[in-house]
Amino acid sequence: MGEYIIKRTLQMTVVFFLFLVFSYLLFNAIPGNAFSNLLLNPDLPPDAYNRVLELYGLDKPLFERLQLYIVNFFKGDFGYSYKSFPKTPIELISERLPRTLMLFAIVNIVSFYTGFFIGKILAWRRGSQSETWITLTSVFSYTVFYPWFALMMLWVFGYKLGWLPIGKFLYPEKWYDAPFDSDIVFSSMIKFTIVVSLIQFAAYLATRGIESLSSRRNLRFASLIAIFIGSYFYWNNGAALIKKPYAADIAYHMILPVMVVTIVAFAGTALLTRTTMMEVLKEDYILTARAKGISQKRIRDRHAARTALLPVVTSFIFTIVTIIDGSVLTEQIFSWPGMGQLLLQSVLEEDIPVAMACFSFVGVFALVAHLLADISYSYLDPRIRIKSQG
Amino acid sequence: MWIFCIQKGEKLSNFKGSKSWRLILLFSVFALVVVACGGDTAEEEVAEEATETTAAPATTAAPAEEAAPSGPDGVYKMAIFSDPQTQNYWNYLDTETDVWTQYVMSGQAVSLFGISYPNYQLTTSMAAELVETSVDNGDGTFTYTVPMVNGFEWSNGDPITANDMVWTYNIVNELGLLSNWETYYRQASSVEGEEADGIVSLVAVDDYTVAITLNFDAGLSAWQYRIAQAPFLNETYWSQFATSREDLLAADGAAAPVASAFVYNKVEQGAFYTWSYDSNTMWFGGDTTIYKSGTVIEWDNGVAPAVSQSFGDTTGDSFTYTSGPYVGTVEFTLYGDQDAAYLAFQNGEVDFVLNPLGVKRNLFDQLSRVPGVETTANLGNGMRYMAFNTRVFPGSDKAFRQSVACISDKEFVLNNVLQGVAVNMDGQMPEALTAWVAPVTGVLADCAGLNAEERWGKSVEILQAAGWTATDWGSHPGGADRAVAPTGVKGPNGETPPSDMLLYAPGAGYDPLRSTMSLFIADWMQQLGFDVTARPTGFSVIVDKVFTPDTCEDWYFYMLGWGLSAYPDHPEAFFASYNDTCEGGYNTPGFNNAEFDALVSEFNKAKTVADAIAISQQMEAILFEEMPYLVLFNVPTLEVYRSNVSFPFTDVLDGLTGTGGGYPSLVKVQS
Repeated sequence: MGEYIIKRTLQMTVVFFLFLVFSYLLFNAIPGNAFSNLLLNPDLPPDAYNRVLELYGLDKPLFERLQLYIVNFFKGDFGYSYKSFPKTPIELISERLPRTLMLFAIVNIVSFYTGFFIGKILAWRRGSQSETWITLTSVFSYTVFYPWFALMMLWVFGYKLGWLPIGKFLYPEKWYDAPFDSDIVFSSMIKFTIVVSLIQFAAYLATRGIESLSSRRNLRFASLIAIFIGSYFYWNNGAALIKKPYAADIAYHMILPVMVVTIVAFAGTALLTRTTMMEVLKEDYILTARAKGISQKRIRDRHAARTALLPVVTSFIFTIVTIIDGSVLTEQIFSWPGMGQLLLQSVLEEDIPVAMACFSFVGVFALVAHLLADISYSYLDPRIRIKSQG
Repeated sequence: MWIFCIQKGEKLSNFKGSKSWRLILLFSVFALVVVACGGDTAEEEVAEEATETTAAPATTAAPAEEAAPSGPDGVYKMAIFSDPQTQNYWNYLDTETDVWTQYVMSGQAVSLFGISYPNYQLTTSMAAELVETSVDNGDGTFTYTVPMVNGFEWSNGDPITANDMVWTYNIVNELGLLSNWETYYRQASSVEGEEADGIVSLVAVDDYTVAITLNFDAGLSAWQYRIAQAPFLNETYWSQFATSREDLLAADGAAAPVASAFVYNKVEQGAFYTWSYDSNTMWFGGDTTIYKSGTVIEWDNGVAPAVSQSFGDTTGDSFTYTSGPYVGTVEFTLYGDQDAAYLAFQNGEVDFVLNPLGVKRNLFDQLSRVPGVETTANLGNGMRYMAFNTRVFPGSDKAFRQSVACISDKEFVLNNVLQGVAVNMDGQMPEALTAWVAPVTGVLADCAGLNAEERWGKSVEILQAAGWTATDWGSHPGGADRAVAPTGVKGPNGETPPSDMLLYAPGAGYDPLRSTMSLFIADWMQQLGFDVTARPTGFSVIVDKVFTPDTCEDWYFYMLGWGLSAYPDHPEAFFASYNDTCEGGYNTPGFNNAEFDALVSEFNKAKTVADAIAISQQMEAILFEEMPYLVLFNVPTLEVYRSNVSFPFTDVLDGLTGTGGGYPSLVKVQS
């Protein structure tokens, strides 16, 4: 396994280098540059534009700039943002990343669980009327034109019903007197979410071995209650108490984007789970389990669903990769100022240092996720492990 | 209660395998959390604790509470579509020139002169008088000596003096600040043996008098509308950061002293920005009376120095407004998507949407029917145009340009095809600048009101009269049908026009109006026997091609637009031969006309608006004859605002966003 990881890491390094070079060349192929708007000011002295280009190194030949960029990149120097000078791309990313991670971590978890749960039901109730309706709904969700759908949801829930906010991640008036900025609250929320997820995951692992289905469920449910109670005490004591109304405001603003993206994203997982599980249900060992008189729920959850999980988990890992670039539309429509908006804005404004840093981040994220997917695949599927060892 | 729950839980635990007890328990915990989070008492406790446990910084609750007794109440909420790039004024004028940054920028800078809206009248600002004449020093230099008003102060209590302006000027030069700073404080320098027009020295004669020496006899555009409107900032605060360009641009602008009633309050990057009323401000009140071509300012609020001055022609109809501010907080909320922003506007979440392009026509019509929404439509201070490349044939031939101008029935496209969404424009001046608009002459006047057949016939006549030849001049069937185009068309010297000439225009996604117009004009040129195709092209691609000296001869026609400044001196930039794009200027057509250049020279020296207008109209007459640009149309700026806000005026060239960023100091908001 160690040799495999080293080999894959080397491959990744080469791929990442090529990715950097091609991305840089592509960005530079866009006509104009970040300062082209200066050309539209006729009052500007004749040499002023050239002086700006000179200062930012844009007057140098492309390959010299590329060389310089690559060398500086591996030294950890990403330069300055052209459009938000003198901020660095890292400063901008660290400002925006928590907002995206918070939103899309929740979205991915919710949509994965919803999709897997519904997919399981679909496969199990094959041929029933409910399967037809749920499949139709899932196909609709999977194929709907997302910007239209998101705007319609905003219109219905935000404007017509007035239940949820129309975009943004906070109500400004609630933050006028906030003693900290939203990034601090986001950080607390992310830490909180991670801790809660780890507790729930630990509870899942700890109860895996329990044979009795009802005992296992009761224990998992008890852990959920414990989390609720723990959360209550956490948010009502100490520093978290001051942050609570602000965190609640952000959480309230997350409801609609999470709901909309979940509706669109769950369908892929659901349909994949359905297909995989239907294949699994044809297997001989399922027939054997039935012949042994094992309960239907147990066959479904312990025998079929667990095997069907394999491709679904892989697909889930690849979905995580698309968090950053996939968030562009969502963040734009819901006015959620995260990485997606930063990426889009930097590309449109030809702020190459920021765009490159964002893309590099996505690239590293994608490559690491693929590596993790490969490793987890071999972990989850013994056949792959045996093959790689053999 | 708890005992009951435990008993109930024990009872329910007997129902193993049933989901009911879990649901009840889950609901109980959920209810507990809701009560904990949602109760009024809890919120009050949190608020109290927050106040006690946090040392309130200057930008939080405490100052706002102090300001309340003497300051106005209410919040004016505006939507913006893009995150401002900086709160630092130095950085904003350096290379971060962006309208969103401008709208949110606090009043960190002042200038000697200013402009009153909606009549675009030149007025004083920090200057005590509108100094329009300089002293000729006899050595080729000219000095303007400007007295400043004694008594104005920055928000940190420092007096606003001539030293602030001198320090700003020195810093711009010493640190090599770029872009707009270079425009305002352009240095007199020698470039390749030629001396460039600029500032020789800028010094303080005393604390309230500044002397600016130039190496040229400046007219309105260089003096009144540029150097005298150059921004300057507070020396005390900014000098601590002025060690290098990077340090200065990186300094915290949110804490900078201002010369306005509002200071930055909350800056939540990517979400919203607020200004709050500064209770110690002297920048409030004062009456402004607006005439068609004049302004009277009466300012005596008991704190700031009293000002009573009149500018321009103060006769005729007028109206007066009293400056605010009338709100305690100005909020700028960021929306990533325009649809979401206007939905929020419709929902009453924001009072006004800052949108330099205005609302799209269909949305404007839709919003105009919504209760509680007011609308306003103003012409934009700009123009859309088609340029001919006069360096290459056939654009180099005046008759060709005139014939294209004649056959192009802009009114037909604007009224019949584009349903009146834009207003026809023939000259270089927006219609609202009434005094500046020159009477239409030349071919545009001759062809006005002609039908398609007559226009085609007239255009062919123009070509024939100039010595163009054709194998067959074709014919026009009359009515709305296309003409049978001439064949074998040749120029006066027997040159054959190139085939596959492209008319670059923005695509329909970027600007459907220009895109549509380009299709029609290309077709009309084809009907005259020229092989022209409209090519929808990215904005940056067009800009890159036509503004780059290396490619100045690589195009035939393009369509773009210009946003214009308060002083309409743009014909000089666009058509003076010394501004040729091949040499790095903005004269993209490469127009070269000695008579026009001579008028430009006179225009640049004009000391009064009346003189400038007279010369400008002579320049326009040449442009109507020569047609380096075919000016196309002006797009009205459509804006909407909630009926709970009111502005002292809404009829203003370029709209409420373009001229005043939503006028936060003048707007009144009903709670």
